[in-house]
Amino acid sequence: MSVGGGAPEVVPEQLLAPTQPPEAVAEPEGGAPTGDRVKRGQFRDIWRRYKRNKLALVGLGIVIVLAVIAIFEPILTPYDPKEQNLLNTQQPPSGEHWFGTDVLGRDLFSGILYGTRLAMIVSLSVVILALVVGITLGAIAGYRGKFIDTLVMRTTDIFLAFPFLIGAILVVRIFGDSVQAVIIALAILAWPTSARLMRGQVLALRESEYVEAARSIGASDTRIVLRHILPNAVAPVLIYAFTSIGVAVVAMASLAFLGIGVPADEPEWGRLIGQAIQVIQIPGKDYLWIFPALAISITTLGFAFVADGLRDSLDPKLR
Amino acid sequence: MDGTADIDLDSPAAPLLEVRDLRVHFKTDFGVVKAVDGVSWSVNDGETLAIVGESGSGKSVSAMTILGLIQSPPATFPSGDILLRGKSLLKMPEKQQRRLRGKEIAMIFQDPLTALNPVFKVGDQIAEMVRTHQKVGKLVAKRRALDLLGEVGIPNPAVRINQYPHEFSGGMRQRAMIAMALANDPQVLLADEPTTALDVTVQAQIMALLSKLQESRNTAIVLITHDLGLVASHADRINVMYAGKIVEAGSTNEIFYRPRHAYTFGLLSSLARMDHRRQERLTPIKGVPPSLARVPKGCPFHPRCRFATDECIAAVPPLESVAGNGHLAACVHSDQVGMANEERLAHG
Amino acid sequence: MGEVPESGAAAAGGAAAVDGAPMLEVTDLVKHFPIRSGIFFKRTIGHVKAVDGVSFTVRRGQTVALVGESGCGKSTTARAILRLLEPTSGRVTLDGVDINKLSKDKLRRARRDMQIIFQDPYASLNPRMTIRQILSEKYQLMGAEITKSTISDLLDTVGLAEEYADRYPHEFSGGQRQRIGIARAIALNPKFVVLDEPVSALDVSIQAQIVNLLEDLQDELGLTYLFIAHDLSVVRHISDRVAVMYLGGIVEIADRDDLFDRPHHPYTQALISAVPIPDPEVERVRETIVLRGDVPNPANPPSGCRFRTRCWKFEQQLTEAERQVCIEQPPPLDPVPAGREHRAACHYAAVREVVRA
Repeated sequence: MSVGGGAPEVVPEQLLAPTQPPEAVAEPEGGAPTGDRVKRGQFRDIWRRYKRNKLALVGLGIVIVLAVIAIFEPILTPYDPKEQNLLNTQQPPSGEHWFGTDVLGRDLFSGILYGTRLAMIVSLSVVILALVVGITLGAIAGYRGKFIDTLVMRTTDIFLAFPFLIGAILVVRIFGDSVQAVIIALAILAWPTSARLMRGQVLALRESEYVEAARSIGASDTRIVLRHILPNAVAPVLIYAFTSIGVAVVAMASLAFLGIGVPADEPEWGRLIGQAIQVIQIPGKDYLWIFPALAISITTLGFAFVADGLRDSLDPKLR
Repeated sequence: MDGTADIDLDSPAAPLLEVRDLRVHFKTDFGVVKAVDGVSWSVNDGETLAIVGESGSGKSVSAMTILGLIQSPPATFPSGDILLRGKSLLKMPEKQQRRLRGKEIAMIFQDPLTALNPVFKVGDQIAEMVRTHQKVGKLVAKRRALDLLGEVGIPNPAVRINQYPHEFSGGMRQRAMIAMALANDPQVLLADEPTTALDVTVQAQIMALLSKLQESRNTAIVLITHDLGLVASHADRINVMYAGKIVEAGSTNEIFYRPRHAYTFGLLSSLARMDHRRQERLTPIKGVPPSLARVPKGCPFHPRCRFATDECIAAVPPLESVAGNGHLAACVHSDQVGMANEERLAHG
Repeated sequence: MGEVPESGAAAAGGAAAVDGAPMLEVTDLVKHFPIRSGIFFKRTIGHVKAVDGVSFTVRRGQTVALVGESGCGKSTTARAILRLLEPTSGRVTLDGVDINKLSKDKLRRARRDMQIIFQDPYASLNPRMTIRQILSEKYQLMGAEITKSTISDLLDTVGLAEEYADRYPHEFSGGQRQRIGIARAIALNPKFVVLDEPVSALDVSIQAQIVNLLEDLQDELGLTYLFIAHDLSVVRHISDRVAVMYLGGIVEIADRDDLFDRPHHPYTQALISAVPIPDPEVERVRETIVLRGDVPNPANPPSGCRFRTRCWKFEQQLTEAERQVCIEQPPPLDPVPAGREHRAACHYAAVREVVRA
């Protein structure tokens, strides 16, 4: 029980006011700004804070590597990832096949690389789709309030209450086994959270004094939302988006593991694990699932670290 | 034994509470922030010392240091001591310090919710305050809480004691916080902007309450504020702070009628007065208060000072006596300021 | 036209400013906030009567102050006048134009003439826009031209250097941000400006700078001010006329010196007496009228006179019969004897000197 003497703000905000620039020659009564003399002040500040977090830098490194792999995959793969060779299945890692071959005789290393591209494309598509829908609906709900708000919120409730797996199976049934189906399925399940996040932010910012100021100089509602609220609201949603990429990867892998969604001939990470499980009793076959599992973990962690780093650097108050 | 055996609380010689050459520095991204830079003051029983300054002057930090509320790191204390009746607080073992804080020295804040936990009943919080420092049972503590609520003027204490902070109005929360601070009969009460967030009529109520309590208990009060009106009506002595240093100190009359530091003078000249017919124009102090990470060389006030000369940039002016009656000022041009003030009063 | 007169120039517009004609007329302004409850379909179970019938006039070039403590409705009144909040009822006329009858479009255009300066310099500027963007926005919205020198002239008028126009708000101090807020408000020469506690959040040494700036701008640009404040010292300095509000209504309104030297309403008297004056000798001999209790709930104000539950006169000086009057009949805002344009809403209004002893 905290009684008397709960420490207030460690360093009162005023004491942290940025340093004064060198005095200008003839200064108007108002004086010079007391802030740091940097043109792109905001981004430098963000980067500086970001750099302090070692894990965040590691995460950034991972994400960059993933991006490179995803983009240059066709050049990087020593073999055609889909090329099956049933005479050469389940070979352990060797000089010819760095990660060995999988149950269908495909080069596992190439498969992992291909899986990276798949994962990146799918997760990015899912997140972008979910964000577009979520941000739009969330902003409208938050700004307008009342009936529209209730409508959107109850809709998100329904979507969130729906069990993930069943929903995914349903979508795939409708759209057939394909990458697109997976994207749609995952996006449908991801948009409610970003909508809620956005709505919460908009609700809070709607009452800001600078929004009132904008209204007082004649800004229309649309302009207020786009120019004043959105740029200030977007930070938590962005952070959530990065985490979501990792989540989407795992979700896609889970579906593929169960044999849903991505077609069987695509060497998707989850699919590879699913196939590896079938032969798990035989000793010495662990490489079949370790590499895809590592790939999933590293990817998820990488994006999570970046999201963490972003959270701390975009707005120190957010922690 | 509560560990206060070494302190003779009835010794008349030493001041009740003394701060000596206190320095509190913070390491931040922008450099070393010298929040308090060599500050010394003292207060005696039954008197009210006001520490006046604007935001960024460091006035709150020195008080919070007394109560150990400044977290270190990021703060460092390059020098300074705090003495309670002549015995050094900082040299005591941590346990002893904690025993004294909250008991002999208590603090009230601008925001009552700093001290009042919103999820506990007000009565329980006061009672716990009592039991933290005194070996009494729950019932006795509750009884004490009831008495305190009555003493601070909260109507219907028997009902209020079981309510939560959010059920209290702003003024009442402040009273509850005062009750908590008084729970252990402190000798010194540090009041950090206690009425800044309150309406002026409520402020009058709270200040009247503090005066009454001071009279009945002979408590010393250190009033930290930026409101010169409050200070004029309630303080016996005043310390004026600027950029982490005390720039002027003296009795209330001395400071208001015979200021000798350019900043004090500038401040008093710039005030709008409710009891005067309209002046043509106010006389502001030009410029802005400095950031504590980059305090100007020499006298920190010199960039804004109309009396400033090269001497003021060369070295930090020492705080020295200017009138022999305990009136101190850290200003090279204190005589000039005095004369300018005479003129202002003549034409006022 | 998007011109702002150069700083220091006694613009011709300024001289013709104070001609006494009413710029703003507020009649019976009411703003109630419904209290809703319920899960799906919220029902209205009561109203917070934030503004409950306010009437006053502001003449061209004048400064009228609305003073009162928290919950009195002064900020709500100001926003209802500008239609930043939709009034529940009442009439607001700006330079002859009925504001409440304007369509949304016409209202947006009318905003050019009625502006507001906010209290909190840390909250009223969008943290993600540069100063230049913040100031230019108004020109864009009003369809006015921006020339090479527009922004720099504007900043110059409020005492800021042009070279800092591309910085962000967080790089400036409170006083500087307030100057930016002022610049935004006076750009395009509005006729009428609401100032919502423009100096309360600033350091004392900066307040005088800003007050001077506001007065200079008023002279140069011929502005009419509605000054919302709780700091009576600044009010005495800057206003021509003062209206005191309590719990949604005006309890006293008078010319400045009349109000301070000869207050008639018990609340005004208590309010003035509670304001400490930075002068020890004066304070020593003044008496403070200490009000008891808290401000009543605006959703459920007392019957008759709203102030009676805390009124010292009610408590200490009135007879039973007189008290009944206060309980049953809301006092009208009537002229006081021997007061030019001085009105008080009290059945037993009488002078009490509270500034000095």
